[in-house]
Amino acid sequence: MRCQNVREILSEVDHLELAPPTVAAHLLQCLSCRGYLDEMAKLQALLRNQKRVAAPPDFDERLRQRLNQRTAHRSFRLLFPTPALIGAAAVVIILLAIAGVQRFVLEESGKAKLGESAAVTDQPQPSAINSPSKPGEARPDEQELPVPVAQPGKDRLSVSGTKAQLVPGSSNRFLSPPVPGAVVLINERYVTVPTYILGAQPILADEIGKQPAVRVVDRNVF
Amino acid sequence: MEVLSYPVELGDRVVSNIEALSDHELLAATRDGDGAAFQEIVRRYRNPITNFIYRMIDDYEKAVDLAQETFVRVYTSTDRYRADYSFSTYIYRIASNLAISELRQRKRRRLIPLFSFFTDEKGEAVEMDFADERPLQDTALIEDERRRAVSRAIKSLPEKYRVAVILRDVEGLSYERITEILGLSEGTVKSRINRARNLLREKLRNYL
Repeated sequence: MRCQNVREILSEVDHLELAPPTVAAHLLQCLSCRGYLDEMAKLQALLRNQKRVAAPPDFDERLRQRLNQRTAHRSFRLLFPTPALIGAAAVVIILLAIAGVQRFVLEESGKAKLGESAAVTDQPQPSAINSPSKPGEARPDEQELPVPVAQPGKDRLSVSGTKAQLVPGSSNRFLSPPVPGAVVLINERYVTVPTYILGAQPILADEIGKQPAVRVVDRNVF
Repeated sequence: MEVLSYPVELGDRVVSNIEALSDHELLAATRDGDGAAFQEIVRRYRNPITNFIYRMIDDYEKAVDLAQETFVRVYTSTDRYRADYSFSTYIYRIASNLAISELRQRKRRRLIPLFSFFTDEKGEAVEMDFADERPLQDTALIEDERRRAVSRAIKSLPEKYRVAVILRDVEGLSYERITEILGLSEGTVKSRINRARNLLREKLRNYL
């Protein structure tokens, strides 16, 4: 048995009698471990015999005053919040402000896109001028703008900035890793839109009332 | 709100009854508004708790302050007390949390940290406190010096070792009780106590 193992066992037993017989056998042969055991016994006696301090005579009186103060102040805690409460309130306010700004930016961004799209579609187009535009009839742009749909597992989207080009399914998917997000049609251009933006602006196509500015072609191209 | 008060002087009959009650019964009576029961809890634990915190932080005035805070928390949390553990486990747990919190605050306030420059073989920070190798000249001073050396050595231990060895070797609590107080496994507690003893043995070898 190694000295290290013996010492670990000795540290865990309160009395040598509780140690396994192999430990006692080792101690008979090992002077170093006997010295260790002796030092540990002295150390524990030293710690046990440290002078103990007592509570001061006015401990109870001070405690009583403290309890009186604490219980009296408890009802005023909400009127005079602690720094921790103030800090928590500040964090909540900051989070709400960030959420508000984020929402505002998203809304403004959506409006800007709608405006651009509306400006483009307000210009007379040859196909639109000659097409019927009564309510209930199919809108000319919807009829005349073919919507190529990517084939999952075959086609690939080549992305450059915000522009994208659909590449028919001859390309190697392993060489060109898939682009996350959905493929949408914006003003006759295919772009990929991250899922969270798509989720934030699902209503764009319905709000415009004319030509859909954003049309989801396929959410699961890749 | 009704201001708390509890009687200091009790009649003989009441005192004898209260002294016979268990900690759990005293706490239940405190919960029901019995000030004398709380007084008895304070009487039973004020000295051990003060001593324990003093050994942890080595500052008597602050130890008294934290011991009082311990009792305040006991009093204000009687509704939340669960009788799964013994009351002494519960109150030592509050006291050890307060003491450890105080040690951490002191460590943060320290301008020149002595921790982290020195690490043990496990990479854990150890406070600089070398063993005093000088021979002791006057036997009359030996005892006093020994006590101070022990205090210094305990103070130099990392807090996780310190709390374990104080509960075991100074307060004399069982391993089972210490595992409940610290919320650790028995193996971890034994390992920490062993580590603390070995560190103390190194620092105090001149006194052993």
